[in-house]
Amino acid sequence: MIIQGKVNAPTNVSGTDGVSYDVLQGKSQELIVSALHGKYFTQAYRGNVFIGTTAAAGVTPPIFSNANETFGIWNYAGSGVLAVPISCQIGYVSGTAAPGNFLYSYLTGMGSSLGTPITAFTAVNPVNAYLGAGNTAKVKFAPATITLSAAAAALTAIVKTMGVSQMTTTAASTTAPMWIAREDFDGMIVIPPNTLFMVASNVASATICDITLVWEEVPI
Amino acid sequence: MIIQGQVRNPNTSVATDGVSYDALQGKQGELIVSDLHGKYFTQSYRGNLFVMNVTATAIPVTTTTAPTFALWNPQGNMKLANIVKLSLGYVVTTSTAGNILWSYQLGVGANVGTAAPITAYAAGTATNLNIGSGVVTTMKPGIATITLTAAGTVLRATGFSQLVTTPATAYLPWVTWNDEPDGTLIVPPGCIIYLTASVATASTYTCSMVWEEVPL
Repeated sequence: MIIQGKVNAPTNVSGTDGVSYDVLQGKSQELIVSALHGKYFTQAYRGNVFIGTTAAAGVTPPIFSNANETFGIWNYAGSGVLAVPISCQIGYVSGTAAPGNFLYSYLTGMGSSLGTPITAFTAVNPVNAYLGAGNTAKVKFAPATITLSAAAAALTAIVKTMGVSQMTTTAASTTAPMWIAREDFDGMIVIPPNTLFMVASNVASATICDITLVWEEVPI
Repeated sequence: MIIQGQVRNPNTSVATDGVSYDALQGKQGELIVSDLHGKYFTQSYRGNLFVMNVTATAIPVTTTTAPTFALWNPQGNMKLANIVKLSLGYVVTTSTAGNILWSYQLGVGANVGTAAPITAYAAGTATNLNIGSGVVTTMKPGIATITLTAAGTVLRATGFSQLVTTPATAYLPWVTWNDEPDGTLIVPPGCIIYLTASVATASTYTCSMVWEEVPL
């Protein structure tokens, strides 16, 4: 069965509740739609969206190639899910910044248990975006302590820059407008099992930050 | 068969899993929908989304014949490159006042050659954003050194602007530089697209470009 709508100008008379109408099509024959909820509502409602956040005291993002990383999710081998980042937000807490930019890094072949290459991973339960409900995350989240073997750290690769940069900024003496440091991934990165994904910097940032990563978990 | 839904208010009670219902329509007959995933998830999941990076590069002026960050869709390729996102992050050095632009050149063929439009091209690396996917790009990501026989044409601004800023003494808020063309920047075969600046930048940047590959 081929589904069709009907090409028309949008009606200038509101439809009547309870009546069926041909679905509207545009001049390129596309279906015309309107969203009902926010983009991720269905996944959140179904309990598949998770929020990982540092403690309010924050962390200092290190250079991405450091063996001691401060923020990441570990989609361990055998998790049965893909982790798909939705958004990342970084908020300033304190400190004088080292000029540079924030970025995302990753490593594959990370297995499912501690040892080598991940020697320490202080996991904290992320919050389900359906607050107080939803599923338990399959992916492991660490908001402060990830330790890699030296060999693994040397292999850490950049996924992409966040596009968020900082200059030398001293909170006590800098007068500046407020700002937003946020990226919406819009589904463009897929993190399969056996992979570590981290938020870091191109230099040791020196700034203490609150970092939040929101992701959905999708069956493989 | 023409599909129809039903114009009505969204339900005040939740639907039951496993039961079929008339699809919801808006007051102008449009289908009311909800997204399940992000805009690019399906393309990423299918292995059609790629990223290229350079950890630190300056960006040359618009008249350059030596771009430093480029994507070349070789002639004869059966794919289009649809640019999804460009992100730039500051690395070092006092900046010059100006802005960052997209430039391009058509008819650049498929190969580097002595008398060709592109005479040198240092290949960059493309990473599939379904991390670990075996699907490889059909494009040619390029990083310095790239040599064009003639300068290209400015396509449009990215909207990224900067003033003279010395990192050790500049007290500024953080800056976000992300450009999302959202389907308005398609690179066909035989075309190279690259970054330029209104004034050659003294600063260097971490540059990331994300694109999807779509059949012709």
